[in-house]
Amino acid sequence: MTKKVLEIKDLNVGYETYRGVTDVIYDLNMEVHKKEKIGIIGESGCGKTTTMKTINRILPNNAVIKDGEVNFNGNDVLKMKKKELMKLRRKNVSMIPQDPTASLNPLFKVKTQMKDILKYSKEHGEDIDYKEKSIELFESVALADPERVYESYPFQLSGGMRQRVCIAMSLATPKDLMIADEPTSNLDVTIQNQVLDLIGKILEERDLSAILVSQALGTVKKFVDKIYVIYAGTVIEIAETKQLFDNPIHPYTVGLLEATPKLTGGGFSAGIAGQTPDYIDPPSGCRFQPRCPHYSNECENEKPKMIKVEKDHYVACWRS
Amino acid sequence: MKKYIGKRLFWALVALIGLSIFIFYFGRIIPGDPIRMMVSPQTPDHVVEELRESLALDQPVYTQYFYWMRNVFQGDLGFSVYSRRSVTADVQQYLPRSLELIAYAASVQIVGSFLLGIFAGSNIDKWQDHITRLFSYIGVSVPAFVFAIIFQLVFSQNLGWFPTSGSLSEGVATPSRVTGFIGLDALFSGEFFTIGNYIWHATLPAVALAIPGMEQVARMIRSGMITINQKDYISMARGYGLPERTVRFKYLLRPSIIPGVTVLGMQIAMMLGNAFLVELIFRWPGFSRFAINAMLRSDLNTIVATVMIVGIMFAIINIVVDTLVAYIDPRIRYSGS
Repeated sequence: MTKKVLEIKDLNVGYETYRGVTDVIYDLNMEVHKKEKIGIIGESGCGKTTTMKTINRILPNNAVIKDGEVNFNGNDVLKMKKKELMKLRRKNVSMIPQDPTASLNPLFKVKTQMKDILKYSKEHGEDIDYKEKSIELFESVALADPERVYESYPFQLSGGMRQRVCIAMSLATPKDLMIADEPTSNLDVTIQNQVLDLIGKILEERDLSAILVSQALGTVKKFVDKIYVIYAGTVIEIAETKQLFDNPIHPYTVGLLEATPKLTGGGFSAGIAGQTPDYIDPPSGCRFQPRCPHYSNECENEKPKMIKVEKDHYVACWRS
Repeated sequence: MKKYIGKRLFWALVALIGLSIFIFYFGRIIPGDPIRMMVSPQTPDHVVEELRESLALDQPVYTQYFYWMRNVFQGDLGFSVYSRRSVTADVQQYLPRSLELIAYAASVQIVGSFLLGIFAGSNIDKWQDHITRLFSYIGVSVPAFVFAIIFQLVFSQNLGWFPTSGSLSEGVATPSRVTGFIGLDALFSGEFFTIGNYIWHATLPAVALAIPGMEQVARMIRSGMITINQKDYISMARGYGLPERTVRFKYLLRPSIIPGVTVLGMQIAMMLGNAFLVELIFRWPGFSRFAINAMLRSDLNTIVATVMIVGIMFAIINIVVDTLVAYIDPRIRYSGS
């Protein structure tokens, strides 16, 4: 077994709202080993982004981390002091954002933002030529006309270019873990594949550990070794990529895979009836139980444990 | 950027001409005969008519407007039936005093609103924020003249820290007139004691005048900081490992102040009108006090001159604010030209 880079243990995170504190992330467990590529799938609003933002602690002000551990190379991120946390953000974890347009400050030129990132990463020494280094980074993400990009404001760039800039920023220093949080969901369909290929190439070249969050199952399939299926803030199925697609067990996973439109036709699938729960008052027992076609009494009484069904394939469901 | 400012200058000019026509016309159709108000009730009719003719008030309104316009370009704002001298002389005497007071109040307002806003915005929902919020509610809901009265009672009557009224102490001579601005004139002649004395007198009225707008702008900066703090680009900036001080004072502050800057400009422009009661309470020999008195006596030329001065002030501040906002936000700069 290779070394664990990231280990999330029984994480519980909520948000303060006017109606009370929500219960979004619910006893979530996850592991990322060295050089391993993990995919996370689940519908929107099920806590994927919240989990990712907990890893380098950039959650919004109203988030409450109730309990749990996020161990990075053995150190608990949640207990880190300011200095260690800064080091983690600068050297260990990089993030490719969901929406590149919203993730670049509109009032500052790309060069200003790039410069600060390079400056505070403290990786490149005092006498670094920011422009040269930035352009080198831009070239590594195949940005056309890097000189112009360097001098531009974000709103003068196209969506795909902005995402490449974000990727370049995340690569400003060598990192251990790269988190790509739905990196293509806000891009043009034509650009999506290019950006995904770029991310795939970077992962391959640099031997990083990675977490790729996505709703588009097809994109996950290509890059990752193992998939975590998350529903309502908790992991419900873990499997090697091929196993998951060949033999999904949890009713939610089955529904999710069926909901993907297929080129071979057959019309639109029915999807999964219902919605993600209200996190102020989530369902008891298994959180999927109100929407589950195979509901039985025990689902409501107790949260199902993770059970090994075959090699590297775990499911949290009372039926298995 | 040049085109952006040029466009604004052009429209400001159009607005000012429109405003002058509007106020000129309405000044002349409101009831009340300005000539009768300036003479005694016993004055014979033919004298009144002669006077009317000599002031061109017997002509149609548009003719009067063109006469007025011609004179304005020669620096003559007409004759005041209230002060019985040229309006230009009145303006030269009173306006600089008010502008100095406003400049002082505006400085207090700018510095104060930024400090308070950033202080509250950096400590959301902590005691610092609650205290500033309390002060803001008081500041926004209480008008400036109430602060003026309270300050006068507390800081000059009871504590004796500041003078009760006026603009210079007895025995302190007004510096020889160069610009009409006492502060500047004193500076030119090197009379620093006079400057100090002048500022000392202006402090209470300036602060009273500054407070309501200051609190409002502070609130806007605070809520700007809260809103921007939730943006992805701020959490990403933190995620890259930038120090909190860089995130807060560079990447967060700049987008947060834009709405505040716009309102700040309007607040400063409105001070000329708002200053009336404050000037009255502190017996500050300023323009607002003079202008309101003239208006109450249907002094047509003074009314037009006053309204135009307030209009010009708004126009200038608007252009300054638009330019500032365009400087802060490149999206405006690049789409405006």
